[in-house]
This record gives sequence, C-alpha cells and structure tokens, in this order.
Amino acid sequence: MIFRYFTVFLLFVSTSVFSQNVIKGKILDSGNGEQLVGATVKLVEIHQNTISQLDGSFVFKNIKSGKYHIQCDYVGYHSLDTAVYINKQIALVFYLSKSSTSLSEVTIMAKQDGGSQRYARRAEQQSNSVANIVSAKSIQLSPDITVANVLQRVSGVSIERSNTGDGQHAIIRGMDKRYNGTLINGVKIPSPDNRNRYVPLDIFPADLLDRLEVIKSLTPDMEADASGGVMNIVMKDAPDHLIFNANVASGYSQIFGQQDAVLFDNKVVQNQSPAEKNGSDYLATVNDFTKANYSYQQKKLPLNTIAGFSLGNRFFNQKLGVIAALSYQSNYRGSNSIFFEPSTQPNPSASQNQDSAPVFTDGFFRTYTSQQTRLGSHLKLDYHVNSRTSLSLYTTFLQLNKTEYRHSVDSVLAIQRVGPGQGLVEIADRSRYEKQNIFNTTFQGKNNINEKFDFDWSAVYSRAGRQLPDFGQLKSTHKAGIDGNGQTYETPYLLLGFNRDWQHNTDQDLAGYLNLHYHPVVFNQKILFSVGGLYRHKNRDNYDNKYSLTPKSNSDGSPQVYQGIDAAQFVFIPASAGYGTAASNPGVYTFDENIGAGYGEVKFTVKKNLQVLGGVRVESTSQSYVTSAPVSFVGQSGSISYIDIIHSLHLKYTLNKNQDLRFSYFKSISRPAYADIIPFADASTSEYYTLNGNPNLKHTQVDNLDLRYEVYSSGLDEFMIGGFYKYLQNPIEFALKQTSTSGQELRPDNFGNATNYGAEIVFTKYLGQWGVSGNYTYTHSNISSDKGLYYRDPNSGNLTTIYVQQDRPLQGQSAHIANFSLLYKNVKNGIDAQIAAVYTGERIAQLSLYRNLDYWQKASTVLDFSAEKSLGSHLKIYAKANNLLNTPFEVIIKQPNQFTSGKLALPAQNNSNYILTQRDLYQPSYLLGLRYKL
Amino acid sequence: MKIKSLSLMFLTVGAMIIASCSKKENAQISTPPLQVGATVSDAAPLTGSIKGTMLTGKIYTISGDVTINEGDTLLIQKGVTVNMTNNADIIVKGTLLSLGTKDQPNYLTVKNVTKTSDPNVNPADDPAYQGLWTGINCDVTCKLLVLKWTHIEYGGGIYSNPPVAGTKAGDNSFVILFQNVDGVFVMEDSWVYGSIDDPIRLKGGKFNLMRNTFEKCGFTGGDVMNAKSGSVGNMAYNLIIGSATTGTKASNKGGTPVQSNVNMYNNTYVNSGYRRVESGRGGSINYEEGAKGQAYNNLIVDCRFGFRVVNDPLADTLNLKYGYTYNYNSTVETANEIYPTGYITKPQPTDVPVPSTFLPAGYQLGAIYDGTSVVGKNDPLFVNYPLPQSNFKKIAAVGNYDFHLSANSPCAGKGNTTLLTPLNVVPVDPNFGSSEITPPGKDIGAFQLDGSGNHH
Repeated sequence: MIFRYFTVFLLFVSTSVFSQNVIKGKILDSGNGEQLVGATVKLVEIHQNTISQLDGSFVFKNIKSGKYHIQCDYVGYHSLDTAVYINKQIALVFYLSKSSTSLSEVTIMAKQDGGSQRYARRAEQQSNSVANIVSAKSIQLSPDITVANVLQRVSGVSIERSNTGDGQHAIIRGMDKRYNGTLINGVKIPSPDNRNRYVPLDIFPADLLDRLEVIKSLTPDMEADASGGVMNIVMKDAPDHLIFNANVASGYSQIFGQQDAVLFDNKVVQNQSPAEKNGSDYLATVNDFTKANYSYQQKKLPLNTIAGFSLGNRFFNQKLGVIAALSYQSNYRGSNSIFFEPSTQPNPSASQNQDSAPVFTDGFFRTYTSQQTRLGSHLKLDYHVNSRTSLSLYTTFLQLNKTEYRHSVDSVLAIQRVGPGQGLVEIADRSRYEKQNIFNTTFQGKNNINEKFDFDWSAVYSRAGRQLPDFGQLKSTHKAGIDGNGQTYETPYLLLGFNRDWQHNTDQDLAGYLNLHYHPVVFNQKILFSVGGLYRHKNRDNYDNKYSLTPKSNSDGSPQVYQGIDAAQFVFIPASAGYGTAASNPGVYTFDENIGAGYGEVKFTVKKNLQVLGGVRVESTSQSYVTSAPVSFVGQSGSISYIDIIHSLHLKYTLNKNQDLRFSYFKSISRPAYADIIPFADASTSEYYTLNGNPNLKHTQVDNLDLRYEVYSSGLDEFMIGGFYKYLQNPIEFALKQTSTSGQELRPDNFGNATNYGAEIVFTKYLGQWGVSGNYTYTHSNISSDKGLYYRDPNSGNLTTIYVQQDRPLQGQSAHIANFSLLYKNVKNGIDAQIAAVYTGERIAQLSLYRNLDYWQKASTVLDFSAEKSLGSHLKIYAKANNLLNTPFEVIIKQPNQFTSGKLALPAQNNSNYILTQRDLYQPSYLLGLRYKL
Repeated sequence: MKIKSLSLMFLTVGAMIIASCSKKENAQISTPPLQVGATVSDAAPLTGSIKGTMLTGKIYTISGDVTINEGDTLLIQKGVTVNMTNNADIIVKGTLLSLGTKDQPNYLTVKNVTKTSDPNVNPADDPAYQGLWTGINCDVTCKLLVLKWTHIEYGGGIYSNPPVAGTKAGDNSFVILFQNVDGVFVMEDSWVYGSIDDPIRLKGGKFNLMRNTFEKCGFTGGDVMNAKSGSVGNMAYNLIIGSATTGTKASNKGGTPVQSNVNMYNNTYVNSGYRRVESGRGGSINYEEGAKGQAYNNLIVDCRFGFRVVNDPLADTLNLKYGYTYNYNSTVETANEIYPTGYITKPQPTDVPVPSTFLPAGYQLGAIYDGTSVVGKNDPLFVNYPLPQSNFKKIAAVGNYDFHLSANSPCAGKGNTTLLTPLNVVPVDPNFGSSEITPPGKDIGAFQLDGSGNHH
C-alpha cells in the first residue's frame, strides 16, 4: 500500500500530565468525512493494535509518554503512517483517502470490498436511482440464511412465506411479487417456478452474496418489468489477493422437540411418469406406481447443517482473477396448520345493506415436515486483457430440493356435522418431492475505446427447471359420531381415490446485451450519452401428466377398508385411465417469448449539484404458446404481442456533501407469467386452492413517481425519507372463482386501475458500540372492483347475486411495514450481535369474489437474533435464532364470527370480531456455527 | 256495448261446444315427420361438425367428438340408434332434438356391451360404471335440448378431450351437461343407464325432467339430477334405482342472478346412495345452499338417506315446502336416517311413517333417533319387488322387477294434488318442448294407478 496523504488534527489537549496516557481518535474518509469502521490502528513501537468501531472511533489506554509511529490500514484506502509525540490525553482524527476514485468505474487492480457495509451505504448514495443495498457483512451478521429472509430487512419490503415459514417472495412497497424482478449480477434470470416469472428467493443461500441491491426506480438502461423494484443479487467478485473463507454450522428447529420429523425416502420416487418412460401410448397398470414413497419414517430432532467456502485469488500479474464458492444447506422445517376452506358461495344476507356470511366446507388440520437441501456453486473469472479491455465469465448453479410430507385431517363441515368431534373425516398423507435448479452463465466484456467512448456487452445463457415427480395424496374417509347410548364411535377407514401427478417445467433464456457510452465534455461539463439494448429469447416447456387410481372394491362390491399403503389395492376405471392425461392437457405446453429492447439516455450535471438522467426505452414483447389440449378447447394456443414505450427522468440534487434530494419519474410494465395465461388447472402448487390461467389477461402498465431526501451523515449512519406514487393500469390479482363444476379455483384477472402511494423512512445511527437501524414504510393503494353480493331480495323474496363496486387495497399490500434492529459491536472483544424485528401490517392475502369477504393476513411481528464472536484473527463463532416469538401466520375474514360457540363451533375460533381461516405455526429455529477467514 | 258483450257470449258458448265435441273424438291424422336441414348420412362414422336430420330406422356411428354449432340443429327422428365409439362426445352449441316415441325409442348407446341385472356383479366390473363415451355436453350457447323416449347408455366417461368451457382432461364427464340459464332442457320418458359421475348436471337452465327412469347412475359418486344456481323447473315422475348418491338435488351454488327453484314430486327412489364411499352425502332428495322449491308425493325405499335439507350452507328454507314423503326401510340402518342426522329436515305430519309415531318427544332437527319401530313397516306393495329386501345395497337395475303400485298399495290416493303447481318454464310442444307437464298425482311415487305419470 502506498503512503500518500495524511492529515492530523490535534483536537484536544488535556491540562494534566501523566505518564500513563489515553489516546482517543477517529478514522474518517478524507473525501466525505465518513467514519470508517474496522480500520486497523497500530502503535508500531509497542506492537499494540486496535480497530475502529461503528462510529469510526478507537482508543489506546495506558500509553507511556513518548514518540510513536501510528499506522492506519483500511481496505480500499491508502495506508497512513505518521509520528506523534504523546505526553498527555490526546484526541486524534485521521483522514484516509481512497485508493480508487469511483465505485461506478471498474477497479480491477485495487479491489474494493463490495461486501462491506460501508460500500453499501456509499453505493446507495452514488446510485443513479433510488436504491437500498444490503452488504454481505450485514447478511453475515443478520439472522438470515437465505436471501429471502435478508430482504425483509430492507425498507419497503415485506415477505411472503411458504408453508414452512421460509420467506419466498418479496412484496416491494405494496407491490405484489409479480411486479418485482430478480437479477443475478445485473442479468435477468429465469425462474424454476412453474407459475411465476420471479425467482423464489429461498433458493439463494445468503453466504454466496457480495451484496443485495433493491433498486426502486428504473433508469432507461434497465428492463422495464419491475414496477415495485429490482432485486439484484450481486455474487462475490474475484479479490485482489488470496482469500479463503469457510463456514460450517449446525442447528435444529424447535418444533421437532415436540413432534417427530416424518418423511419418506425421496430416492424411491420415480422421476418419470409411466407415459414418459414407456411412450405416450403406453397403457399403465397399477403396478407401474411405487408405494414406497407413501410410507413414512419418523426421525427425532433432526439436525440442520450449513457448510460453505469461497476461495479466490489473482494471477498472472493481477490480470486473471478467480473466485469459486460452494454452499450447502440441509434444513428440516416443520409447521402445524389449521385451515378452514370457505364455501365458494357464502350464505345470503337478509338485505342489500348487509354482507353475505361466510360458510366453510372443511376444516383441515395439517402437520408438515420438510427437508430442504440447497446447493449453490459459483465461479467467476475476470481477465484484464489490457488497460482498456476486460472480460469476465460468470457461472452459477443453484439447486433446491424439497422433500415434504403433509399429514392432513380433513373435518368435513358441510356434511352431517352434528357438532364438534362428530361427522365425516378424511385423513390424507401427501408426499411431495420438488426439485428446482437454476443454471446461469454470463460472458461479459468491457472496452474503453478512448477517453470518450466505451462499451460493454453481455452474452447470457440461463436454464431454470423444476420437477415435481409422482406428487400424490393417499386418502381415506370415515365417520366419527356419538351413538344413541352416548358412546363415541368411528366407522372403518375406507380408501379413497389416489391421484398421481408428474409435472416438470424448464425455462431457457438466451440473451444478449449491448451498451454504448459516449462521454464528451461540453461547457466544462461531463455528459454521458448511452444507447443500448437487449434481445432475449425465452422458451418454456411444461409437462403435466396425471393418473387417477381407483380403490379396488371388495369382491362383494363393498368398499375397501384402508389398512396401510402396502395393503391398499387400486385399479384403473375405466382401463383407459391408465393412459394418463398428458395427451390432451393444457398443462402440456411450450411457450416462446421474444423480448427486444432499445434505449437512449443522457446523464449530465447542471451547476455541479443537479444531476439529470433521462431517456426513453422501447420494449417489444412477442409471445406464443401451444398446448396439447384439443383445438376445440378455448385458449388451446395463442399469440400475444405488444410494444411499450417507456420514458424516465431522474434528478439528483446535491444539497451538500452529505445530503441529496432525488426525484424520479419512470414508466414500467409487468408481463403476466406463462402460467397466468395458460388455461391449465393446477392443483399441485397452492396448498389451498387449484390455480388456473386466464388467456385474456392484459399486461400491467405503471407510472411511477419517487421523491427522496437522503442524509449520509458519517460512517454507517444514514437517514432517508421519501415518498412514492404509482398509477397502475390493469394490475393483475388473484381471485377465487367458481369452476364450471361445483368447485372453486384461483384465477388471475385484471380488476381495473389502481393507485399506490406511500412514504418511507430509513435510518441508521451508531454510537460507540451500539447501533440502531430501522425503516418504516407507509403504503396506501386503492382499487375499485366488482364484488358479488348474495342476498335475499326483500321484494321478490328470491335469493340473488348482484355485483357492486368495492374499494380496497391491492392484494398483498400492507399499509404499515417496519423493521427495527438493535446492533452491538465490540471490536476489541470481536463481538457482533443483533436483534432484529420485522413488523408486517395486515394485508389482503386472497381476494373473495364477494363484498367485504376478502381474506386478510393479520399483522405480525417476527423477532430474530444473531451474534458472532472472533476467536483469534481468523476464526469466528456465530449463532442465529429465528422466529423467537413463534409468530403465527394468520388469515382472517373481517366479519362477525358465528363459529365461536354453539352447534356451529369450530376449533381455534376465539375472537368474535373476525373469522379465522388459517393459522400456521413454525416455532423457533437455532443455528450455531464457525466461520474461518484467511 | 250490448252487441259487444253479446257476441263475446256467443263466442264463448261456441268455443265451449267445439271444445266438448272434440274431446270425444280421437283423430290420428298423419303429419310428415319433422325434418330439419339435410339428411345425416349413415354411410360412414361421424366426427366433427354435425347438423341436419338422422332418419328413422337408421343406425349411426359417432367415432370422434361431434359438434352441433351455434345456430345449427341436429334432429334425431324416432327409431334411430346412435352407436358411440372412441370415448367420443356430443358437443351442443346449437340445438339437439331426439324425438323417440314409446313404440320407436331412440338409442344413444355402445355396441356389443351386455347389461347385467345380477346384483352380485362387482360394480368395478360392471360396464355400466365404465363410462364408455363422454356425454352430451351443452355449451353456454345451447338454447334447446329436447330428449324424448331416448335410451342413453354407458355415457359419462372420463374426458380425453375437454369439450366445452370449464371441462378438463381427466375429469369425469356428465351424461348430460346443460349450462345456459336462458336455455331450455326437456327430458321426458327417457332412460339413463350407467355413468361414472352425475348423469345430469344443470348449471342453470329452464327444464322439465319428467317420467324418466335412471338405473345404475354414478360409480362411487354422482347425483342423478344435480341442479346448480340458475336452474328452474320440475323433476317429477322419475324412477331412480341404485344411484351412487342423491337422486334429485338442488343447490343455488354458482352465483347466477337466478335462484335455483326446483320442484321434486312423485318420484320413486329405490336403493340409492350406497356406492358413495364417503358417508353422509345423500341418497334420495336433497335441497342445499340457497335452493328453493317444493317437494311432495315422493316414495323413498331403502335409500341410504331420506329427504335431506342442508343447513350449512343453508337451503332457502323460507321458500322450501315439502311433505307427503313416503319412506320404506328394510333395516334400522336406513330407518335411522329417514330424517338424516346432522341436517335440518323438518318431519311433516303428512309423511309416512307419521313422525309422531316413532320420533322421540322433543326431537331436535338432525338429532339421532331410534328408527327400529318402523323397520319393515308401510310396504308400498310394488307389483313385483320383494320387501323387506336384504340385498338393497346391490340391486341397482329394474331388470324383471316392476315398481308400479299394486291396486291395494297404501301409497294409492295418499298424494296431494293441490299444494304444488308445476313450474311452466318450458314450452309445451310435440317437437320443441315438453309433451306434457304432468301435475302432481294422487298416488305417491312415479307410477299412477290410472296409468298416468311414468309410462315405462
């Protein structure tokens, strides 16, 4: 490191003279005065070291008077070496200068640690658009092991959880997951999800990340289909010296202290359906179906395991950088769930002024065990050909396998239920083995032709896939009751029909990106002109084949009594059912999508403090699909195309060095997912409802306005306050609809236009060893749509359904979201600790087709804790504890509750003001691990 | 004024004279058989779009899905046999008329399949429950479906091609699906033999389902006549034997602006509800979820459940009137379910057996009671069907039995003919509507001692 520049200020001289002195000081950035955390301060003569704290301060105690060399080192900064004569209590301030000039330029030779918190704050400030950035350091310190859980700490972000309590999808500023894009290293990746374009974020292990960026306003060079925000997952970059990090941890989920983990052997699951194995004209017999994946083994308190390492270095005169990382996680999760399935149609109300009353057909009591195995690997090579040209090759493979057992007791409420504990009961064991993976390889180049002109390009191939082989549920039915003598009884368990379903889907993307930049100096101002574009060909292949097995009746025609899976006997009735459904099934489809985009943007600064960035982007979308459904089927095939012209303008007004004011306007779109369009009824994805597509769905167009005021006072401290306004044309939401038979399903639809506005506050403040960090977002959205009202017309006396307009927030939007963390950092003892709380206000989880009967997710607070301690200079021990409050996930209908007592009484209904429709409990989980850093 | 009222009087008298005269005379004057459009050729198996007339005496084969397009009509004259092959279905976007007669009924059937009346054949091996073709599927555009004196056999299979909106591959088809709230569906004097699921599913429509016989309908589930929201009409004088679940069912589920209103009267329900594996789903009459209507003079023999009025979701009990239900039970198992437990059927003093003779004092609706005292009581005295019957769970076809009433049947004359007026929602027409909307009869059940009612 080069000794370049230093300044020392003598701030304070004490009057008393002692031979034992105390040196206090601060380390700051020479450019902007930011406090630098974790810089090494060395008293050379006496070999004493210390590290600057969260507010940049450091202390040496009991120092004898004399002349000392003080050395300060900080990655990415020039080292400082100075001599000071000490004979009293003194306070020093050291200013370090950066070894690179700007973050937005490529700095291969002197690598910044992008994973530092300091970098993150700085990048937020330098960003062209409104952004929040979480550093790898924050992620390490946080209680989170997947990206999804990290995200919920970002302002304006709330999380949708899976049935085992893991965060899966992000809702940004009240905008449903469908409006938010996911990028790896700035490149869009396809989703392995069968129904969604956005990637389920729980597939990313947190420890592969360099940082996580949430970009909330779009510039013309960014793809337009992210109205809520873009989550850019930036993976680790090659370092400028040898690094080696390793991490191993183990833990458990508390729920398995109370109940056994119950799972099946996923190795016996047949990956292909009989028709795939033997040809599509194969008539399967019942012997083609395995039974072993429906027999279950108990496991007491299974351990969770996490392991990972990353290794990186630079070779050939620093020209070639390499980093490789591998991450493995095996987690057992469990949950208990109560779910009351509403009847498609409520009970009628007595007049038009009253709301219809919800009724339930079934009460489900479910126990889940799932084992999730995540494997993440990543390799990045960069080659610095010469001072003008650099190339990089990035490859990642991510895999998430979930083996899940669900035991379900279905208390049928609509059939012969005399009271609690009596009536018809269906018991079901479900085996679900889902494999998801993403492969992405990106080849990028950067070329500086001359001082004024440069360009960069990317060629991307990605593949995402999901397999759901042999998904099925073994069911039996019996009746429980009380006989004439008051004795309880159960009728024999009778075997019911058994469906076995094979699904898989693959998405392949081929994309090319090109950006040209021209930056002349006009009137002493540097102006940046950029033009560029992208072309992407996307192809989706979807397969679904379902077999319906019928229980074989006894020879006298009586129904078969269920005596375990091994004894169960099935037949195909009619025999042709053995062909499966793939031959004529809208679930067997291919979907092609071509996206071409071009943009032009200009960025310049007026009078040194107003940065203007604006431009226009044109995106052309052309889609076509064909299913294996017969031509007589509505929506058997289709082609859809549209062109969007997107303007944007971003202003950043710098009030002073630490304060900015930002204003953005941009237009954005949201394309329906493939499965949103294809009219395929899919019962495998949602825990609760069958999902279907809607070929008449329109894509969403959004106008976005953003205003933000930022203060980066010093060090890690920051303060931001901002507001946003969005106008959505044709937002897409899911509503429960009646199927043509008597069932119900969830279907996406456009319900009109909506507005969404709100404000957010972000703050971080450090005081010595303590820090507080938090954010709060208020969001208000409104959409007016038709809702059914089922009532008795007082004039005719008839029951009728009419449609009335109702105002409501957008699905998934919470009015209030808040995060709060209390941080403790003792640099001397090497202790970092954090308690983090996430508050998610109530929001509509599911729409009802009826007025005031929407399903609301109740407000919740989740509390997590994490801590780490250094053991020597290379080793750290860390602990994470999640969901300390055992926060329930609850869904309610806001209507008076008639199910609390009496003949209609249902379990878990204990509030007369609302009706509970779902309650899931996950219990806390704990993790203890070691981290090694070379 | 005087002249006007005078001439009106003359006219009225004249009309009365003419009317009384013609009543005495029975003239049978031939009219040319109805024909629409071109003749359908029987030279080759049929598939694709279809319209025109199928001629008397001919035998047709349908080898692939056929569609009667919107605006088109397919007329099947009397005495036509249509053989269904290849799991095909009939899609009706326009109009379908099958005008069989008592002497020359029509057949929609499958060749080379033998019916069995042996009650000991395992349903899993009985072709009645195999679903060998995939039904008559009316789309929302179908304005008129008329089926008279038509045998419909072995239908209701599993769709290989989902034919109309809302159906999907792998689902059970219905023998007849009708789903136009403003359309007209008439099915009279016909027979349905076998199906996997519901033989008749109504998702709205004006209908008259009268004087039909249903045997072996539904394999392990399925209601014989299942009417959802928007369905208005009569289900009367039907004989239903051995159905998987309910015989006649009305629900207002489905959210159309028109409330389901179904009259169910003078039906005979025998041995129904046993192939449904799950308990508690029904066996004879069922009103649920906002449906209204009236039900009288029904005869229920050895069905798994009696008259069922569902509380949750609630039938439109304010507009539901019923009574004169006649129950016969060979065993206590079904005698305990004359008023099914867990529901809200109100025992009516006009019912047989009279509720006060066997229900406990202070009986609560849906409560468990002991029906032992009425087991084997009130034999309706069918012409040829032994009661009490020990094999009632398995006898699912008429075969050689005869469910007409003997002259000395206690059902004779016990019906009520005044409380209910049939819903006249379909046109009365020999070709394009109902031949006769028969009002309630004085004898309980489908067969009237004076020869009216069910003509089978």
